[in-house]
Amino acid sequence: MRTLTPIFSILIAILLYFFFIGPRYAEVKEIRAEAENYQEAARRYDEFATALNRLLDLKRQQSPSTLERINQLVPHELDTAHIIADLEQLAEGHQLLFGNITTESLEVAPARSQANGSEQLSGESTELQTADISFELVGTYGQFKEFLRDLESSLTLLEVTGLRFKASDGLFEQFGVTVRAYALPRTTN
Amino acid sequence: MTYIPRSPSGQRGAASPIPRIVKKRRTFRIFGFLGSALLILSVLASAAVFFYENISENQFEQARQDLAAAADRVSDREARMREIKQYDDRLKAAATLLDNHVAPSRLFEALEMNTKETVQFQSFEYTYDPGFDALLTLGGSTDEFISVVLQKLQLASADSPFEVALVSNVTKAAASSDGAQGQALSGENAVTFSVTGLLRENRLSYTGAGDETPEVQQQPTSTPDDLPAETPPENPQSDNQEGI
Repeated sequence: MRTLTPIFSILIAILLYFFFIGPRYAEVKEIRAEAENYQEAARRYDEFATALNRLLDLKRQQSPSTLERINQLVPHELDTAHIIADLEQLAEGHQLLFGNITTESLEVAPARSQANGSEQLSGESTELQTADISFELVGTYGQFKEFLRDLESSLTLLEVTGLRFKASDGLFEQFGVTVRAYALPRTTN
Repeated sequence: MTYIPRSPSGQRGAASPIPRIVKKRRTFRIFGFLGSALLILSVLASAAVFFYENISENQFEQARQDLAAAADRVSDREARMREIKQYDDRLKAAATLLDNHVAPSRLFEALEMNTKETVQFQSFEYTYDPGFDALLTLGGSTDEFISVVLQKLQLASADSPFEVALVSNVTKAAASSDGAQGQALSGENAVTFSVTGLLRENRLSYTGAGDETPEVQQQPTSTPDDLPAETPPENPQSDNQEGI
């Protein structure tokens, strides 16, 4: 009897370990690991919310007029009709005749940024919508230069991609102009 | 009659069956101790694991609730992210476009300063692929070949708007006929030539300095009747510069 009691004790201890303590401890470890993951995720969520709010505050610190100007610089949609109307108005403002309008819509990536040196933007996701608008003006050379200056400083950014004309004997000359208009990529609208 | 056993003191050296002093014999049963200890330890460990499991489950539940609460705090994250991304895309696009924006009007000023008095440029063709090079082709005419050479040297100078310029198609035509390229020729300017070249980026880049010109609005805000009356500026006509 004296020998059997310790044997039974050890046997019970071993059985307890293998059938209760061991598996339960393994489960506890898994639960704690899961809990740590959840805590880490909650912490990341809070960091994410903080970063989001910070970025939104940066944007909302801009004045409404500044935001409006930025929106006009690179609008959501390419509204060629509006652009042509604005060009016509600009031409009329300089007493130039405006006509022979053609448009061509493209979607190309803007080329390298001069500020970034040789960095190519074609590998980035900013594929802007573009449209080429060609038109002709009739007027004097001086009027055309003034028109060009106003066009360059237009808030709605229009890039002059083509100019062509031939001198004539008369006062008025015919100028061919091609401008490129831009809008945000379709995916970001 | 009483039986009196022989006293051991009477017989020295003889062993007595009854011990005089009873000493308790100590025995340490290690095997039993081990068994008991193990059993007690396993029971304690079982209890500890049981309570530890309860605590861990509570912590897990708390962590899950914390995560749900954190997710609720940014429930409109998609809309906010879209707003930020749109703004960021717009800023990047604006920065890129402005970096590549050129001012062709500066080109006219540079050409006017770099055109010889004896040369007329009568055709002008400018092309620009945003972010890449700008190409200019001019058709000129003059009286003498030496003027072509001088013009070429001027266009190769540091003040020239050209980064590299090529003078070609130098021809001397009859004074009364039109050139093969359709250029109008005066009776005096009988030598025609072409200039083709790449323009310097820094001479064309838009600086925006001192611009007080009106902005092109998205929506027309005035009708032609409202525009201030302007007299057309005088065309800078000189004896030698008709086109440019």
